[in-house]
Amino acid sequence: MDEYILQTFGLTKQYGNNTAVYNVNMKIKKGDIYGFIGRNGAGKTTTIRMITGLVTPTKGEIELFSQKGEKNIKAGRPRLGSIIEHPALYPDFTAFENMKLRGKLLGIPDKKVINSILGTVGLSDVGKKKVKNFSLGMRQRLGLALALLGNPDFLILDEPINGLDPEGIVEMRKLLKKLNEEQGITILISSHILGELSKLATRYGVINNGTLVEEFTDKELQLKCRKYLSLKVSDSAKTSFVLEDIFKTTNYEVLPDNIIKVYNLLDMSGEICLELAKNDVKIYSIESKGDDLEEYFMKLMGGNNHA
Amino acid sequence: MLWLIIIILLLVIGVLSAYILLYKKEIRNIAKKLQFIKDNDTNMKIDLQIKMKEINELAIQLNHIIDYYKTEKIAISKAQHEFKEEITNISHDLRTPLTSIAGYVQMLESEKTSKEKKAEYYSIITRRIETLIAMLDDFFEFTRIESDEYPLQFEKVNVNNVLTNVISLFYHDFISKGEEPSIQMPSTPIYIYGDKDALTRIFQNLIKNYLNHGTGNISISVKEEKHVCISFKNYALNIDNEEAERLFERFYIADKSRSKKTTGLGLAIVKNLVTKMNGEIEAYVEDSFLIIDVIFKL
Amino acid sequence: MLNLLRADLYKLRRSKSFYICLAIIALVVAYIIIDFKSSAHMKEQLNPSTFHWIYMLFEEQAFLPYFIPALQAIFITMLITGEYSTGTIKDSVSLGFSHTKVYMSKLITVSIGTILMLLVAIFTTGITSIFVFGIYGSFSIYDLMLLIRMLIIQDLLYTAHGSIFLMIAFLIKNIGSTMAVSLLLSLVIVPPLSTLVENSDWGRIFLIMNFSPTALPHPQAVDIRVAIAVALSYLILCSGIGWFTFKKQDIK
Repeated sequence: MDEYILQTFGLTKQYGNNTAVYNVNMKIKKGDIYGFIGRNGAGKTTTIRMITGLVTPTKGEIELFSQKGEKNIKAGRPRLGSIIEHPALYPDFTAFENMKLRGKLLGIPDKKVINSILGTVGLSDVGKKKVKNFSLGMRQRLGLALALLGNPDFLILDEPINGLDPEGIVEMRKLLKKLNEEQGITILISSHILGELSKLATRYGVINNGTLVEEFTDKELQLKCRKYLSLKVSDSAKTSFVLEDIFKTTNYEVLPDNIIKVYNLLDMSGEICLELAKNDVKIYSIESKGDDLEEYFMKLMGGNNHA
Repeated sequence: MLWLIIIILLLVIGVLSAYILLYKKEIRNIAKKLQFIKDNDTNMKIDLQIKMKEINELAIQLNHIIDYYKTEKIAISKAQHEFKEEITNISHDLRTPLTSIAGYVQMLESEKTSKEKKAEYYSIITRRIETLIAMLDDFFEFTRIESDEYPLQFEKVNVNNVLTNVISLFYHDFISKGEEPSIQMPSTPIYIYGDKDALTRIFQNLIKNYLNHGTGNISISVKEEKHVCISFKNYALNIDNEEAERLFERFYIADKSRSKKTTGLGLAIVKNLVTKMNGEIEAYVEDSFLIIDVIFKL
Repeated sequence: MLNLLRADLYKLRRSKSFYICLAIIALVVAYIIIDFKSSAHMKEQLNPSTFHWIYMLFEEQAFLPYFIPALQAIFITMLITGEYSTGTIKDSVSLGFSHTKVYMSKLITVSIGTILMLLVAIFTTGITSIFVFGIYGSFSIYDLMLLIRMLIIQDLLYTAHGSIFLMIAFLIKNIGSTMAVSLLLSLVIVPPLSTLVENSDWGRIFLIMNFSPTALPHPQAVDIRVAIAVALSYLILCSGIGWFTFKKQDIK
């Protein structure tokens, strides 16, 4: 099941003396929603352009759908839907005509699909309105509809939440989640705002100054960023008694291997130790865990040295 | 004139053979695509290079079949996923209270514990066991309702009566929570066509949910316009619309630590029963009030 | 590739600037013919039949050979740079179509667009001249074949001309500059240059000098050969350069 949809090996792009992306080793598994996060200008779009074949890497290799080599990658590209920077639309066409054109490009046999996809993204009632009169949010949604027309297995969305109103963001997030869960579409979604991704992504990649600083899963992040007291003790039954009887809390979880997570009492580790000791419970370890999410990302994205 | 005819004939032959070649290529292309779709976990469908009526029709029909096959596959994998999650949730929900019971039992065995303390621990253990039994009942009930072995007997039901009965059953719980429910319902009886027991359970679960998780005062209102709408409203500061929609998911508990010792099945049962009675249920937040509307057609 | 072409033709069909170009050609042609009304009494001396007025428009340097490239410059620029400015050029590439195919498809679209322009010119000439001069002179299937031959050769020449604009569009990508360079080239720089070398044999390396000799019912075989050779060289050279730049291009 650990099938990689995308892997990059030492992906590098130089423009003259300026290195836009340096030695990026990105791994995206099937079914992931990969949150690609970094400041504006950190190299997100350049990386995405290389993945979609718009920009030739200076160095490094891409493996798409477990295929390497230019020819094999090209064969896999129709399985990929993308919106890069802003959706590429024909301003003088209506939403339907834009879809029809893409349908021709993809060789879609049934034109009925177009309306159902426009319905999915909430654009079924735009009628004959030309795209140049669309709001940014509507464009984003049409862009997504275009990307979905090819029944993709992998969606690449560059800043798709740009220009959406709060309600639109919630809807987009829900739609992406649905696509991911129901159709198993793997999604790469880039953003410079953590809040947009944190409710969605199952795996993160943080890029700073063209370098992929760190990759981790949602679970790892939660572990890093949820504040709790982790206790490893000799007797979890007795510990839970102590917690309930003395500290009057039920806000704890008992995990296998005699590990107990306490979600409150964060600043009472000393008292807990004392009481446990009184009750003959051995404490193998006690630590307070969890970073602040925002702070953690700021640290990875290059601290506070931005303008 | 002869060469003209020859040229025209040659052209015709050329066009026809190109047509045949494209046709063959297209059929091969479709076969290749089908094989790809069969062998890979993909969303791809058949696409075409040329526009020929019959091939187009073939492709459309094939795509319908692929669609069908995919929906089935999605449903199966979703069910499997849910099943796994349920097992995890159940074991999780059982482990914490059981561990705590074990802790109290240890203390009972200890000689250092005083008599009064022991009596207190016994009662705590009993309460824990009761909660566990209630939880297991919930599981059982839920499986029974989900599995369609729960026949509903449709009859004319007086909503006002059922609701009043249920509320009076919970009288003591309201008192101990220190809140008095405000109830608005018309004096004329409202009838719906449904199962009386199921409706009772729906109201019970909604009120229990409020008693366990809700804050503030609850107001319950029954309205009859085009549809019958029974609405439960209480103050809920720490919930947003996104979470409200998830309330009816199985095992969904807004409090992630699951410390309240409930299963999160109550509202899932409600939703199931309402749907079985051809009704609708929705939850949303308005001005920090959580509103759950149960709607039945007349 | 066929899908790519189908999509490109759909764009051409929906392109306003292309229709405006067609309309301008029709108007220009009609105007020229109507302008000859004063010499209607000597129509037989000018052209042996109504039908032959078509050749005159294709032959005379100040007429179609002057206008069609200018209009080509406009519609090709709009077609290509439009894709760069909206970003839609990304679509076909990110869907896995090779740069070569994308470029080829554009070239074929340009060629088809050019044929349509020539056809519009031919039909408008035919119809207007019937109105202005009435039907006179003889006309046979054989004449039609000759006309088709001319049309094919002319399309090749104009497509070669179009490939220059296509190359410029892919090189510059920006609508304003592309338009300026293309129009400057086709209206200001090349025509006077070509008149300088008008009568020498070397003048034939200018594409524009090959339009007139081949726009005759019975052109000389050597003229046809030279025209085809020159057209193909331009086509291969410009497409080669354009394709190579596009292939190496990083698409923004």
